[in-house]
Amino acid sequence: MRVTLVVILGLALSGAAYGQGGNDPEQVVRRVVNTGMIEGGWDQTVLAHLGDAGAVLATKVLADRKLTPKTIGGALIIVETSFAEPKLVEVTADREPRTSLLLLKYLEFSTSDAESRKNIADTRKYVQDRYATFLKAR
Amino acid sequence: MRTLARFRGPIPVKCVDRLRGPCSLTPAQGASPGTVQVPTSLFVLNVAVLSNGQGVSFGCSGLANYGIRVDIKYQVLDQNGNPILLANMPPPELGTFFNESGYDRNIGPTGFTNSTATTAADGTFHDAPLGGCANGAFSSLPDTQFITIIMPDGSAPAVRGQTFTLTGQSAGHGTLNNSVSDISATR
Repeated sequence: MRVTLVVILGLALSGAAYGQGGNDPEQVVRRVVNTGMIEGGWDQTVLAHLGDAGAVLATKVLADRKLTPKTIGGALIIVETSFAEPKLVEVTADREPRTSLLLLKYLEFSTSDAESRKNIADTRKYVQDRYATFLKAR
Repeated sequence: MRTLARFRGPIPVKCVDRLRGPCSLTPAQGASPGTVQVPTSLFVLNVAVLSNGQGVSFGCSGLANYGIRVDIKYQVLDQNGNPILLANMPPPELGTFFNESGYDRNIGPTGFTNSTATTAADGTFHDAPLGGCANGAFSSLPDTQFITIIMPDGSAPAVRGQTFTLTGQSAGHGTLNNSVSDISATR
């Protein structure tokens, strides 16, 4: 099951195309995952426009990392912030949390830390609620 | 990389009507009708600590509950300390984040409720959300910020340079102070 998820996430990554210069989305995602900190203005602005693409980038950043409660926490910040306001997401298809839910499932399988698992469950509910609210408002 | 020197220059904004125009809210020396107002500084009108929660208009969420985010409302002032009541002036900023990466961008819009791309009709704008939230404790992080105001004629004088210091030493708490000593917030 875990191998399947990794393969699927890898395929999802192949569709991501972002610039590498300056504070591009991948750099923001990498910074947040590495530091566990999200800066108020820029990081949030960039992430809130990503939607599901935020999870794709988080997967890319996490690919060669050991999944600790700290790094999992950073990934959850990415997913949460990326779905803070789905109507801000520029790519229509990325307003639906597909890769995000897959990533959350993978993270859940990867940790036995009780707090991390609770945060994962909370983040999943938040993302699903935000998307449902967005659909109702359309 | 943009430099501050590039943005220095005279800003011809005319104070049209002292009674109800840009000069009517003069807090210090009055500007005479016909005076050319040059954006020179920013006055901090209000600093609001953003409440905890998830979403673009909130402060720190439960996932990153160390630190603080605020909404700062600025008023653009001229060379005499008078408000410049002019809309559509973008306030770009450049500097380094709390996480030490560089930035060079418009202050808004960020998605936050009060955040806009340009000043409002009264010459005010919000820098929000400002600050940072982390999933663990941190002691003291600096953020250096230089703000300019882009005028209708394209000139863009520097109006404020400051260094913020952000702390988040325990869950649910944080402080933010600046080097100008007119911004201080705690949660």
